[in-house]
Amino acid sequence: MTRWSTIAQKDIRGLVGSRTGKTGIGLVVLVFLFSGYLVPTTTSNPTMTDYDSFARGIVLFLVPLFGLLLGYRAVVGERATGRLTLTLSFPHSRADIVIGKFVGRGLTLSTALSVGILGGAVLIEYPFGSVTVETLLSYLFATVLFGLAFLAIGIALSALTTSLRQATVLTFGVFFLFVVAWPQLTGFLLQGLEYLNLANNTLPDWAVFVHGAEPSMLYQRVLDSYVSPNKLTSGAALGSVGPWYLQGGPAVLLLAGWIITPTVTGYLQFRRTDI
Amino acid sequence: MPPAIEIHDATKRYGSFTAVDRVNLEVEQGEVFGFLGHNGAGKSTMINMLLDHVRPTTGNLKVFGADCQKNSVRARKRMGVLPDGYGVYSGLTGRQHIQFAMESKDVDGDPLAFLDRVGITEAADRAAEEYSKGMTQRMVFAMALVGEPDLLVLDEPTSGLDPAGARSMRETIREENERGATVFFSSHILEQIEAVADRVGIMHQGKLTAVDTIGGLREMASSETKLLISTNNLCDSVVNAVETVDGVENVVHTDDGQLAVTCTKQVKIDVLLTLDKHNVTVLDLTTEEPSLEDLFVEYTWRSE
Repeated sequence: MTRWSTIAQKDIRGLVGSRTGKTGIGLVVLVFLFSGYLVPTTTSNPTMTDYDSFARGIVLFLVPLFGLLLGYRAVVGERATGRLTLTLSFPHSRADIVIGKFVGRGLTLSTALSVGILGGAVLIEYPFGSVTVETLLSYLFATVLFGLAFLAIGIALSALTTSLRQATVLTFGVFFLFVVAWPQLTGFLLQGLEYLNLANNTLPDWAVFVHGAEPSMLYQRVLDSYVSPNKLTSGAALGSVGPWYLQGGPAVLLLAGWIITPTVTGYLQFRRTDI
Repeated sequence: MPPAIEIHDATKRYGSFTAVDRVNLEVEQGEVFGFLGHNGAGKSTMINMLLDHVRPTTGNLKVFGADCQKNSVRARKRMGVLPDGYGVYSGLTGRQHIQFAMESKDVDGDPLAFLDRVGITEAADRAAEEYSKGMTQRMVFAMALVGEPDLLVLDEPTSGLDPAGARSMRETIREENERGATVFFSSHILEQIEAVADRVGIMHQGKLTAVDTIGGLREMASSETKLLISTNNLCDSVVNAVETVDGVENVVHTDDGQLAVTCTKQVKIDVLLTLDKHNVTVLDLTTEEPSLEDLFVEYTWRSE
């Protein structure tokens, strides 16, 4: 057994063993199940597309929160309580800690989301709906990727900071910036660019790309490409008429980048510091 | 056969504060080495550098030839550690803690055997967070014993233990040493160290001020003695005469007519002969021999 899997295993045991962990996981699963229960009551012959448009608003809020909350204490919480001292008294490297934490919590998050979404899909399918395996898997994959991106950001913050208070403040800041503020910035961005004579009435493609490189915007683009292609909700970013870099495929890669970059950055800083 | 621990010129600075100051130390395999010093003397910083929790500002440390910073995991593979300021994992029982230690060190077997050794078998399936301080300390000690480590590093191992618990831990340390393990442990309590250590290092204000065997320290401590002599007819010329005796360090004529003489053990009789030569009547005589404790105090206060 590898060293990081030992850490991951212990982490999962701890998460599932604690009451707050169980409650949080249960709540997330319930939201997805409940959405699956509600959609057929308003729509006849519901599909995953209906499920997506019904749940989109709450998922955009809930999944980042779940990911950040799972991640932001992962390392710094252990440091503050001296658990890191105990763990690093055994033959584990700092990389084992970061990877183990990411894998352990990533599995927990993926499992919770999968159970919720698969359960929700069953409720959509039965008795009158129709769920295609392809859209279901696309939705599941995109949502897990989305959750993992925020988990990685949370873990990075917990590896970069040395006190729980710092980590809490930064996590709150990231949540506010990415989830609440960022998607609303389109107007400001357009005005700014018009002032600089870089735009005229609509955002140029490159600006849409930059603005859309934030995880929740990327997630929406992925869903709009593969799950709800008939619902043009994010404007110029959509459709095969747009440039290639605004399509769903590159968005998936960028979302994956949001998993790797924070984790590596967090690790590099964590490796340098004293405990 | 490389030494169990090699510390070369290790220094750790935090801003302008020097926690560990140019420490050199070698601990041979099979030794029990006691690391003595007040709280804040730099003992834990030294141990944390061995574990790579703290990186030295300069110098290097090795455990069985493996560099503690560059090859930290390899160094820690051979260690069993009871660190200072640890916390236990929430949501995990005592048994699961031992399991974690066993998985970390690739050891198979029954976790209960380890809990048995420290006498907390009956608490195996309770959450470790609910343990008392002493039980927690025993559990982490049991985690340190997993995998028959070649080097046990114990930071203040008996803290939180009652006297019986401390004694049984000392017995386990001795057993581990007989098995062949090197033991490196710190304490601010002299008796703890005296009871098990072959060699002692005294740490004070970040500096390693003395390294010797217990026997050597005791010899050093007992080589000096203090004579308290009661007389009735003392004059300054006698005091001067006593001062000139070879081996006498210090003579004080107290107000109540007593003579306090600090000298080496061998010249006690010369002091008395000198008094006799000057026709001084000795009414009473007591001797005070400084203990190891006094020596420790002397080593840790004199540089202030």
